[in-house]
Amino acid sequence: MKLKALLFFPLLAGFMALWITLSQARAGDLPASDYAPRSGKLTAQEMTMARNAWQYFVANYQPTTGLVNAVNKYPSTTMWDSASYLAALTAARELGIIDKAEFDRRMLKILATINKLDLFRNELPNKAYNTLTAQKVNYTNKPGEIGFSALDIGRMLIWLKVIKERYPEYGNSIDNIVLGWDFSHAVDPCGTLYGAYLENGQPKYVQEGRLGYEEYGAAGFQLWGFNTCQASRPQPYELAEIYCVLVPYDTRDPRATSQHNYVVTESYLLYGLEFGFDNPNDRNNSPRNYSHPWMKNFADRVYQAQENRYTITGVLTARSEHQLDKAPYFVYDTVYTDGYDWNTITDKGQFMPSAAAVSLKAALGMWVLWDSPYTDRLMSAIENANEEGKGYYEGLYENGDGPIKEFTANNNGIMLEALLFKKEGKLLQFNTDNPKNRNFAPSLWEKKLVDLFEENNARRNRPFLESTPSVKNWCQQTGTTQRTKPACQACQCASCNADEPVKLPPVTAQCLKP
Amino acid sequence: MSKTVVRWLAIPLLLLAAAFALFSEGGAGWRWLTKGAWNTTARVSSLTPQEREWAAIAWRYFVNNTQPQTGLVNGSDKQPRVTLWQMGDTLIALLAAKDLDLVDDKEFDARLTRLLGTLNRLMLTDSRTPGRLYSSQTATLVDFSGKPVKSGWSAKDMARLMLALRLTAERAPQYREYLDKVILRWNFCPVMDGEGELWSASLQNGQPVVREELRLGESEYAASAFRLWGFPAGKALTPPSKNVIIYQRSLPVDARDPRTTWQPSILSTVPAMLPGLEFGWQPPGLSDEVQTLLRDRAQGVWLTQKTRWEKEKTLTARADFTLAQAPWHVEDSVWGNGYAWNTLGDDGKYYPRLAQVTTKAVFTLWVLWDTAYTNALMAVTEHLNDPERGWFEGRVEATGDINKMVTLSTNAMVLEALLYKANGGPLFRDGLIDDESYFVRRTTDEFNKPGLCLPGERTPRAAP
Repeated sequence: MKLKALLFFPLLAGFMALWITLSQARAGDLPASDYAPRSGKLTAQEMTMARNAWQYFVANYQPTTGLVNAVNKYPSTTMWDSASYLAALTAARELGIIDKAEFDRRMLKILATINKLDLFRNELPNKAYNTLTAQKVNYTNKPGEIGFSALDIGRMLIWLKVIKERYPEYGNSIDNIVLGWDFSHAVDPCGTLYGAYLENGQPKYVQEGRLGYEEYGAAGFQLWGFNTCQASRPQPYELAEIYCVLVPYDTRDPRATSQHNYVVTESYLLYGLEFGFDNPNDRNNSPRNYSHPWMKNFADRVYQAQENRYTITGVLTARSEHQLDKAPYFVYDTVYTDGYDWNTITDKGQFMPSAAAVSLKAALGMWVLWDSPYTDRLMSAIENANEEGKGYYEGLYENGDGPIKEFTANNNGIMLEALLFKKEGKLLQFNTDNPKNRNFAPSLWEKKLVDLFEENNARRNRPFLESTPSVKNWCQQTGTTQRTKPACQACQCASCNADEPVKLPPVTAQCLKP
Repeated sequence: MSKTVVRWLAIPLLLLAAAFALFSEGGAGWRWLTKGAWNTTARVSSLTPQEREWAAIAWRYFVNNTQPQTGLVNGSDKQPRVTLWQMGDTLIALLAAKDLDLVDDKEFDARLTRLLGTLNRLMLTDSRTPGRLYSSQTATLVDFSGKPVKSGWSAKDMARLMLALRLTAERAPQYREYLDKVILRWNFCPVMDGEGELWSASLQNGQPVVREELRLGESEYAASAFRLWGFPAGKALTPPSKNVIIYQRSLPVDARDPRTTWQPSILSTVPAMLPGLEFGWQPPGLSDEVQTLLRDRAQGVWLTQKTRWEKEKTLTARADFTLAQAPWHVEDSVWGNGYAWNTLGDDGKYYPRLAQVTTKAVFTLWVLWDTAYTNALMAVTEHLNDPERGWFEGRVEATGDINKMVTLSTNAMVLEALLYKANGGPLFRDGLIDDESYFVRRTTDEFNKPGLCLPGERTPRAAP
């Protein structure tokens, strides 16, 4: 008996050692990666929130164009903010705030307007439009053109796709919108995204997007078949140690490129809400199986740094870029940018620590994607920060100065997105046929793209679609000559391999003593 | 039979050899062992003829720029202005020159005597602290254009001179009393507060503005110099730090925000390496914890520069340096104000094109680490001199041009590094002021206190 017990001892010791190594491996993880996303029916309180947020879109609707003002009472909008409106509209219908009739009336109007938009240099939608007339305008809302933003277009492409998938009856209108656009300067063969601006009347095309936003914008292009290899990679990035979390940031130098490399909640949040941290084309809808692991991991870090800041300093934190109710009217309120943690800067790079705020869209988005006591607290802080008939405030000043008394389409739209995510999971839900299915009927977009004799395909730099059996089948039936990818498209940028797996960097620093 | 005899003979022979290795050259080997130089692969041996030549070139600067009236040396070539830091450099250079046989005893005495006299007559500010900038011809307070001014003080510069005085006292003990008298004139009441934090002052629109100017790296170095004189430097030894990551290596930097304090937060070579050259990162009187921190930080600073050379193929040796045109003085860093490899002018702007392989950084790295990387650095630096004027500031990273400024600090650092090598390790044997000194006698005289907040006059407070 005694001898037997002795024999067990090494085995027991082995198990102990195994258990210790396993628990230590777990200790290296972020708590955030164990927080589940929230899901389930909305409570009465959450429904009230959704209705309050929708108030913004009731108050700022422009019946002449079907567009909604990006900022309260200011008749201008961008593609980004219009996509936020499309998101709000979808959420309002799905949550039962408006009926199908109201939804259809609004949707018909806005899709018609977007179809008729006067484009920048006949290429892509201008950065800003007047919501009363749908004229392209500059930032002071005077008629004129200023360029296009690849990220704004990317977000719009995502929402056009979401609506096309959810409500296939609008597929035709939507495909016509995208077929009307010219992508020759927006995406290059290596999959880098470019925005445009005017310099002395001449258009300049510059690489656009930094870690987070860049991949989010690229996802929109990916959904429509573009190769976005360079834009979809996390590189080049480096890590910053912020309250014991290693937070990734883009290393392209803001001093040399005059683009800030800000790390904010919003970019990761939108990716989480709309794609559930999956690859954009992942048709699977299982909530805790992330087919885009590094995006999920980076999002966890950005979340965790904010939770840790609250734990360590006591400052309730939910950071995103936001409007202000006073000059300078807009700040990048970041977890990290331009070399500093918790940097709050204007677009000129001026430090504005007094403008730091709990962003409501970030707070609610974090609440739905990470079920934790901290996000419950964020929820309590923001749930009644609205004004009757106007929607939710842009944010709550960190220094205690109260709410930012400004209301925007983006803030209220993303809040509605978050609530819809709780009800339905990731917002991009594929509904139309799977192209791999033999009975798949190609949409207008796909039919145009595969047609070798469609001149606009090359002229407008439209992507090559993978030829699935069903597409081949359709070509054979209709006698369409099929357009296929040149054999060596990748030769032009051998350094970029879209399928290259991303090795995750270490997550935590050993700065907290147990 | 013969085997046993050989064994019995071999043991004492080996012991003898070990003892010889340890105690020859003035016990350099012993110091090497006890002062922790074994933590690095430092170059410790007598100088080669070529290195003697290098030292002679550096000393040439001092020969050219010594002002006969005061014994002070110009801060840069032919520019008759000098700071306290540079006065400290002058003393250390003089000690090195004596040790490396560049001056004989008679000249050493003549130079030191003139310096001591000047330091003991040095014009003080209204607060009876030594000022920021002096004329090397008259030892009066001046501004950068040479006009007489009122002035604040710099705790950082004071610390360098105080450390040099202690080193002189240790290496030329016969002058100790006069060295002590230099410090006994100074008023420390506004410089160090009760918590051991060091304060500096500058004049803005004629009004003195007192600020904590020292940042991580400089702060501990200054504090350990004050500690040598018995000051209980507490707070200054542990500045608030946070980590930044360069090439997967975590480096501690000062956590105070340069955007609100207007004091740049810089991680650079020289402040990290000076404690190594002088104390083997074990300044006396400091806790083990602080000593380990100093050593670890120096490791991080040099390894990060080495990694940049290995990965980016850019020769890297960063330190502050002087320029012949605006912005005049540049903080060239490993990390500064949020960015890795930042190059900041004194006007706070970013000057990436000015970054350089800085001579004084090369010499400190070269002597403290004997590696392929430091050899490569030295290979591009060894000809950066004019035998008639001294060593140049460095070589520009962007173009390979030479920055042909000649300054006191660079030439003093060359001599200090070569002295470290010849000395076989850290320059200080101990450094702490001893209880039998004139300084301690005066400060503990109960009936005739100097009243200048010197160590004996404070409520005793244990150093951390």
